[in-house]
Amino acid sequence: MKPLFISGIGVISARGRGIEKFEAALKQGWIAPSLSQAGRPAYRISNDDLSDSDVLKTAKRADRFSKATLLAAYDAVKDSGAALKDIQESTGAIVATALGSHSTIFKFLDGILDYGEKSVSPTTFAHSIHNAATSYLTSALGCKGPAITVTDFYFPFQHALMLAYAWLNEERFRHVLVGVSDECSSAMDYIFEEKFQIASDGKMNPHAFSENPKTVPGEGSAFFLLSLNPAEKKYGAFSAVETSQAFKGWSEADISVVGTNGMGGSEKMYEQFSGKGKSVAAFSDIYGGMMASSAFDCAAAALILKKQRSYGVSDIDIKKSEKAVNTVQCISHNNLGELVFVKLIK
Amino acid sequence: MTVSDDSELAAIRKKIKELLVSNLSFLDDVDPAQIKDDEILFGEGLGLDSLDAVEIVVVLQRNFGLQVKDIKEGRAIFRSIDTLSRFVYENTVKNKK
Amino acid sequence: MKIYVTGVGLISAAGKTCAETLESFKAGERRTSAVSLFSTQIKSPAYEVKNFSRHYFPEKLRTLNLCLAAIEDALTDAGLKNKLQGKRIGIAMGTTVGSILNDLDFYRVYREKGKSSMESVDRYLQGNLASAAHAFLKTEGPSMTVVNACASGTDAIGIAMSWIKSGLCDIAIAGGSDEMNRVPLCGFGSLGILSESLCAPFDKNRTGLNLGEGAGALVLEGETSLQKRAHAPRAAVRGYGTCNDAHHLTSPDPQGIGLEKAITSALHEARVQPSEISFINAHGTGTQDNDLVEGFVLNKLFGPNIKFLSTKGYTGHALGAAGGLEAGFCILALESGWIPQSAGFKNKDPQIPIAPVTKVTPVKKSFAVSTSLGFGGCNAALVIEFADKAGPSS
Repeated sequence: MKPLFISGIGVISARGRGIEKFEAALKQGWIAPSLSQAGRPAYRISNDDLSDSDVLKTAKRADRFSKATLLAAYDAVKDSGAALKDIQESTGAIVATALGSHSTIFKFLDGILDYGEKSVSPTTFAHSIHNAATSYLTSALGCKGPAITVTDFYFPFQHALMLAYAWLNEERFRHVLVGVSDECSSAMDYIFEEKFQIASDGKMNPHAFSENPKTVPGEGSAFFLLSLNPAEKKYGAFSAVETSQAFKGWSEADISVVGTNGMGGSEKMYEQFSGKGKSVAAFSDIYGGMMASSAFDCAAAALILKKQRSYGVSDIDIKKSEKAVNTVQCISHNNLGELVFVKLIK
Repeated sequence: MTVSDDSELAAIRKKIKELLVSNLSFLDDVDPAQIKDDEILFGEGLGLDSLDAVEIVVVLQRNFGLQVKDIKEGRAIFRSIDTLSRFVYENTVKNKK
Repeated sequence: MKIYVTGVGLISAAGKTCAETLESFKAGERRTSAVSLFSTQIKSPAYEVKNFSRHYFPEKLRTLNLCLAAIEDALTDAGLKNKLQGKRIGIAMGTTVGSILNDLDFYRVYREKGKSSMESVDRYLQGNLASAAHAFLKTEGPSMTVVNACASGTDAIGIAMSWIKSGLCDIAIAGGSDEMNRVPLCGFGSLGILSESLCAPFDKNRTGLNLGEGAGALVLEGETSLQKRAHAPRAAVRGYGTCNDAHHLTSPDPQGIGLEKAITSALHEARVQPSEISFINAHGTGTQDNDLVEGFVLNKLFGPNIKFLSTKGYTGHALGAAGGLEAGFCILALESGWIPQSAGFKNKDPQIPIAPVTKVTPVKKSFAVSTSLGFGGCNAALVIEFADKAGPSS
């Protein structure tokens, strides 16, 4: 795989909007989640962060899921410094999600239950389709290249990266916005409560590598603007994705960022990446547990490489050590205990 | 039309404006009281589109029990606040008299 | 690098095998009924797969079961059933319903009581098509469940081609699957594009689409893989194009610019001229907007004499499965040398410059194009080539 150079990153989460807010959150560390009406903790994006009359002027109908997607993608382009008009004709989009726009799907079901099958809202239906968010992204940003929405519960971002590489390699586009969006509706946080162990005190412990980890659900969107042009590199590059179960990680990785989000069962397998001489970082407690949180972990990894500093809990202080951080591996797991690795280089 | 008819139609116009604002996200920032009676719904007027048109069909079903079977028939009905209001008036209040 | 199709698996209302599909196409049979898979007040002809009993997973995971059945048939056809170990396998499947938690009973109870059985949630969490197929086949490699609305199946095939060309896998399984479901039935009804009568793609009096269900899967291989096992391919997928309109959430761009770019891009990759295309399997849903735009673009690119049809008069609109099924139908037509009449078409629409075929029509065994359009401005096209029996050169 040729390196996919990262020229811009956009992140929106409970910790705010923008890569600067994301970095500030990494520095600040854990803060308490909010509570829903039912008293369930979650890290939800604030309504203020989903308001932007300029970017969202053509997306007035958009639901929260679509707005978060559009804003994060827009911010990735803005962060790159590229003028949208210069790249939009040759920019595609690959939007990945674990659970899609489920709050809108439930709203559509509300319509069936409250008004009957023949009086449901067509607008709600149109937004319940997973690729509505991608449609807003392409319309608002004027991206007329290929645009795809993909879904997988645990590894959609990693597979999206592999597709981004294949299509950049084939010159289907010259730039691509690749990212993940996921939301946490009130019905879904009930489901999370049934399926996972929720940290009622709001404190995940992503460094515990527990057999029965706890989680606090989160929501957000994280996007990367990528190209094969090294001159556009701002944060480093994605240089490899490994999905084979025979693969055990890159020995040259200076830091391992582990996806201990409390949503994939036992996290004991991550112990092998920690220990003496091994530097491991985990950030799920910063933005909440999301099944497809790897994009957020990769955003943190990209910042580590660019800023040459580690954030939060880690056993090294990069500035004091003699060795620079040149390679970070982001590791995610699923409910079968399978691992997938993404390598980022400086 | 009698004075009573006029006031009933006016009430329907008011309700239609409120329903459009509450059901169509595109009109989120609009004050229903500021929408003119002869405001054109699509194109240069309120700027609604084809998705809004089918949403209005559902608004009519849910709130007035009215059907618009044919979207071509709908074009005339949906032309303006006034034509929409008259359609509702003629198929609800007036029918009952 | 040429990408070959070595296996085809097709399951739809038109047939549960390729042979059955060809028979019903030839006879012009339109196998519809009222929706029987769930109770509904909505009246619209439905194209259900009757007597489908291949349950690899619990019966209610219908989209997944249809998907695995089509994949199994495609692998058997390719001579690869139980022979995938040790190979890097990519799986790309398109769907709409199969990716959504939309169980009405679960949600009704949750609304009333604040809690509900997790049975349907557990099914949903098992049901991601690509990853479930990988787990079922015990394979490893790229995995993608494409949710690009009605273009998903075509996009999945294009993605699989790209994987092989980029060296990410040796063999790929690609297509789409979707089951008959209340949510799209109600949804398309609310949009005013669900017809109460049999759909009539491209017809002057068309009133909308009919829903269908099914699964279509292709096995794709590069030349190296094929040479190693000396298996004769059925076809080759020579080109794929995809382009977003960036126009509107539900309506296609009226000029069809995105569709035009997708088709042109596919032809460019295939290095094939429009004049070499023997026929087109159009998206042709029977809605006013789709057929108008598509007819305009096909005429612009291929001229007024191009042979084309929509097979949705035989299968209904199977949403995420449509692209997988229709690529398979192109292969059957190239092999057999004919296309069926475009079911439902009787009267030319004066606003559409071309008209589909009205009877069983001979076609050259050369190239075909399959097009798909989807909500959200999705446009996708494939160029498919009839493979001579000699296969790739050694």
